Amino acid sequence: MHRAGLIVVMMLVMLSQEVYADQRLPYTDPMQTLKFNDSDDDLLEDWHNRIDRLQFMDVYDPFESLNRQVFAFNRQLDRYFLEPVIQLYETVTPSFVRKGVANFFQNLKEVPTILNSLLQFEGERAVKSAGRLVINSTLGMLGFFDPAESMGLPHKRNEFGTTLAKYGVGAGPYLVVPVIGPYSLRDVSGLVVDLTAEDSIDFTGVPSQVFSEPEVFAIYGINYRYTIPMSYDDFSSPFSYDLIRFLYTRKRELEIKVDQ
Amino acid sequence: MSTRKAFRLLSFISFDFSRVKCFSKRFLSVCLPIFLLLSISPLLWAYDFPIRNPFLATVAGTPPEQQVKLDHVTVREAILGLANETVENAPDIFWDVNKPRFKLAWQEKPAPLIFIIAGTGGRFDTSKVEFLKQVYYQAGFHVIQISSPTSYDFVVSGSQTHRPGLTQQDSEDLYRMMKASVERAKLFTRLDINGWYLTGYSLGALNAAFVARLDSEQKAFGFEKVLLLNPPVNLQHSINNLDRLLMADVPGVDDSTTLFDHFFDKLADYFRTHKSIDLDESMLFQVQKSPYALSREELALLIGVSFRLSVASMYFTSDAMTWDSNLIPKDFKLKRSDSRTPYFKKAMLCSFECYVNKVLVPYISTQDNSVSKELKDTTALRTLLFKQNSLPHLEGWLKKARHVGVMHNSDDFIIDQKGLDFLYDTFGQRIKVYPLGGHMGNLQYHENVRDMLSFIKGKGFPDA
Repeated sequence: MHRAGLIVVMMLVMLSQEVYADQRLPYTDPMQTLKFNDSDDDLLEDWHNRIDRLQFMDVYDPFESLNRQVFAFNRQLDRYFLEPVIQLYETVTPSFVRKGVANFFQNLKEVPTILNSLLQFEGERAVKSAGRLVINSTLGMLGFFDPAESMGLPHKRNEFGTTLAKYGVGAGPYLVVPVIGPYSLRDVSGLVVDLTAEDSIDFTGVPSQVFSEPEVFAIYGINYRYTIPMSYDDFSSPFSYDLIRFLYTRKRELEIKVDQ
Repeated sequence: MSTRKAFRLLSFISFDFSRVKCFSKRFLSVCLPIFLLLSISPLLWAYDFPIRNPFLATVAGTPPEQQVKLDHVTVREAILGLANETVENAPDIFWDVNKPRFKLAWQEKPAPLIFIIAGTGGRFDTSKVEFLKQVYYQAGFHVIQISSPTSYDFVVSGSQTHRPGLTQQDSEDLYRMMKASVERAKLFTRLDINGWYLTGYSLGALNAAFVARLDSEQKAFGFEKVLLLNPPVNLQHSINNLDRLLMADVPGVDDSTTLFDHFFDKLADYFRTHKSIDLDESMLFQVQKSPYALSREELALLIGVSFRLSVASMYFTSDAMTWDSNLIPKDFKLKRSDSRTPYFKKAMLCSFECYVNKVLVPYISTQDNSVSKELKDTTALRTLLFKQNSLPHLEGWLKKARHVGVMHNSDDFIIDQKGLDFLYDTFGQRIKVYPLGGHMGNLQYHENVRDMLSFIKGKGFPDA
């Protein structure tokens, strides 16, 4: 009995020493848990020297020289004009107003979304978008609120560019459009068609004013920039043109692939 | 739960069990398992960071639910330029970075100021720096955010040699920038500064250590506390490991093109089953719970690629600034409209080690100093370079520098057992090591933030 008690005390002492005296954590080497291709340095060099295998960076970009100039212009515009404007917008308006404005313009996009879903024979999507349009335009006070989302109908945009892609139209050359940025020829044409549709099926009376009334156009533009979650400066690299071109192209491919 | 609390609880429980009589007969069946459990439990209780895989932690960070909860305070902040330091002879393609810039967040009352130095390739407003800014601003500090010497903008307009990578030289550049930034900030707004602090993470932590040493000689600031987050110890070892991550074996991936196709297909499959594309903070954790989870090797490759991208950016920028002509033909003036894709490709093939061999070693050899004269042999010169620019070079000073502390993870792949031992031996009570987190993965974890603030505010590390 006493001996057992002694053992307990001794173990406690050992235990306490383990916590206090030896607080050093041992190193666990993560590199040892990895399987490597080959530790041979020659092979490493070989991997490095296969320059032709870096073709993932190649995007069909016949207007590259012009694109790069527009890209530099857009960056300057963004840094010296658009970003300060957005900063001002964020200071002078409360966030629910900004959210409301974003919802409002998003609601207008339901029109081309329904049309494109129909063109793609995506009945379910068309019905869902139509539901959103009806709910948000009425309950959502002309689209300033998005009650449809909480009813299980989240916004899912569909564009004419995607419709064209589904009918087999390739992306075409990469373009950097002044002010609005990276697009493929196919998708920028799609954008024009979508805007025309939005404009001519003018159920709120706003789209037709967007391009004619400077105030509305300004809000449209500010909201457009505000809802883009990135900035050129996010790519602090001399290769930001290449990186954005690569990411844009891949993102569009992904969207179209996922939709199918 | 802290180790100390865990210990208190532990001794209480064990005391209880001792009364339940641990006799020899029942010792093996009841008491031994209990003791085994108790002896490992302090380690489990001590740190509940949820990600056990160091590569996942490095890529994805801390899950949003476990991140420290920061209040929404409005940060008064501005990006400021140092017009006097504009680099006049920079090629036109660097129009956007020819003037050094930094970011200032100021309090409207007297407050201490903390400098934050970014990690490899990071600009002053990269996400980890922005996070640290939030933390310290809320704690009542003025904050000045400084780009890493290896970042695109700093190579052009912050570095005097435009060849970053030598810590000693880089820290002199940083020190100059820091002094100029404070001058500029004071012109911009009324700043009442009542104390100086410094922190940095990853390579920025190594820079911070060298800057702190420099300041102990030149005394422009007189730092009260300097906190290093996950610094490399032996630079050569860190760089070798980072370069080596690109060799991780993923079936079907043997070069960068198949690599990107591989990730692309995997992501497409994941999104297709989830019917939507949501690229938010928690996405990677969701992916990891799905059948499309990334393997350790795939995650390692991602880290390797992103590191290589930073090196490529640095290498190209340096080459364009110096006419070293490793990438760009001598005297060829790149215009904004010229394609940089061929240079990008060429630069992507160069590892950090290759950068050291092609840029730093030749540069040091041309410098008229005793080092290069003695060491004509490149391998020896390279070894010496790494040694002079690693943390152990400051060992003697660090042992006495009671205001410098370090936080690290025992599963961080940029160090090794030797490096960890060095940190324990050198920093004594001024070190805090976590068992998990990989490289910087636990930065936003609530316990880490608590410990960071505790050290900076002079209370030491809670469990040290």
